[in-house]
Amino acid sequence: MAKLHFKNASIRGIVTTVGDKKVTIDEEASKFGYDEKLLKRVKKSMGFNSRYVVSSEDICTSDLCLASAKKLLSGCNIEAKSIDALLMVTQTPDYKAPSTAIILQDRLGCSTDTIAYDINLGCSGFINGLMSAYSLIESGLNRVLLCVGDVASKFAYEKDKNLTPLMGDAGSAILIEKSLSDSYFILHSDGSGYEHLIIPAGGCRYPCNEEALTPKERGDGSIRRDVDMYMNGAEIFNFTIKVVPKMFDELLEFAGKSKDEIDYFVLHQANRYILQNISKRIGVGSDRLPMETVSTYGNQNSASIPGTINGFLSDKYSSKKVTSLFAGFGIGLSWGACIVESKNIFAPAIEQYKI
Amino acid sequence: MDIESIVYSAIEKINQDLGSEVLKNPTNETLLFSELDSMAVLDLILELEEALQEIKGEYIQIASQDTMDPNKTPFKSVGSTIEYIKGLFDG
Repeated sequence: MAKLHFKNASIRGIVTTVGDKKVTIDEEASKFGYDEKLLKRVKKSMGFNSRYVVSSEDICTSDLCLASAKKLLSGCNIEAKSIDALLMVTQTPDYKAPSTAIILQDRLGCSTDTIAYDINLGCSGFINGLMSAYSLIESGLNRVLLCVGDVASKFAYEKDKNLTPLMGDAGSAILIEKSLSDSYFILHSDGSGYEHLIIPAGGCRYPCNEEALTPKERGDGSIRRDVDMYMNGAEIFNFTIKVVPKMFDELLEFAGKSKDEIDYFVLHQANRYILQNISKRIGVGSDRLPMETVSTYGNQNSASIPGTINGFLSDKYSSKKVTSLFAGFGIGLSWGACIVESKNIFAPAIEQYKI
Repeated sequence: MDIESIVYSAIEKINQDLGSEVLKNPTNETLLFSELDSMAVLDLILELEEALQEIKGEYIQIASQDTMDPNKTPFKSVGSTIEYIKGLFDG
């Protein structure tokens, strides 16, 4: 099992930028074919309310992350040239190649001595990205910039009534530095479930062609193309119920901590149901396990954990020492969690992207 | 309130929003899962978990990895749902 204990790295700052356009489920109901009754149900049960997306095709993941990174470096009084590595976690890169991280290295003004590469992950991406950043620090680097995010509105078909109303666009930047601090990570992967959350077309196995670009009505009643993200909600629900609470137990035992020693459980904001279920199962209330991100900003994929901190816990993380349990789970299938310490980090409130 | 009443009450509550004709006057033989969309299954679970927690004073996990599997779900009928929840307490 992939269990890691780091002693020399910690988070110094987190900034999240969301899409410039706020849309509400009331405005979008007719597009998804919701009647009044269904609209009432999705608001009450799924927590659909509003989400933030980019207003233009021209705004990409790197734009959101660049805005976050600039604010982060300025807030921490750090020169871009002092960054040793820049990691980018995304499923919506600016280009198929090269890595968006390398484009960001130049746009941000980092040195050409900077290590820069992408990691293709979604919901568990923040945990995997953070683990990679901590590993690099542990190996001798001083300062790593981790960027995570997606413009999910570009991979969810606009008329997909199951997935699209859930998705928000966001890009976060996280600064990790050398500092004495204990942190514990557990990571898992299970490729046997790869078809449950997938963009089937656009890769080498099923190249983008006319067939892939044709919108089709599917068995679940939604309309989408093969180049769009598909989610088998039932399978993902089953997977989450099976693995997430168990992972918490494993991690707490590995770290030698009790759940009472954790100030905040910041989880991937999949949807209200899953978070409520986990909250009840582990016996931690919404005061320590925030779950309003989806209703306010949408599911931000790999940016949903930092997005929740900037969205709802900004004053807490900015003003005191915090022991956090972060957990991400989803596409892959992939899941991971970590316990990290932070103290008075730079964590301003979420900002909308400015064109 | 016994478990049978809790299940019938939860079905009545979720059907206020769902509006299924079949679930207006259910019996133990009434097929349940096939009448529900995935959102309604989750609504039912939340209703049951909340009602049981209120009565028993502790959280009981109703959802399992079989919840959404049409072949394995314990919520196939009203009767199987009642038996499943009784089994959680017996176990």
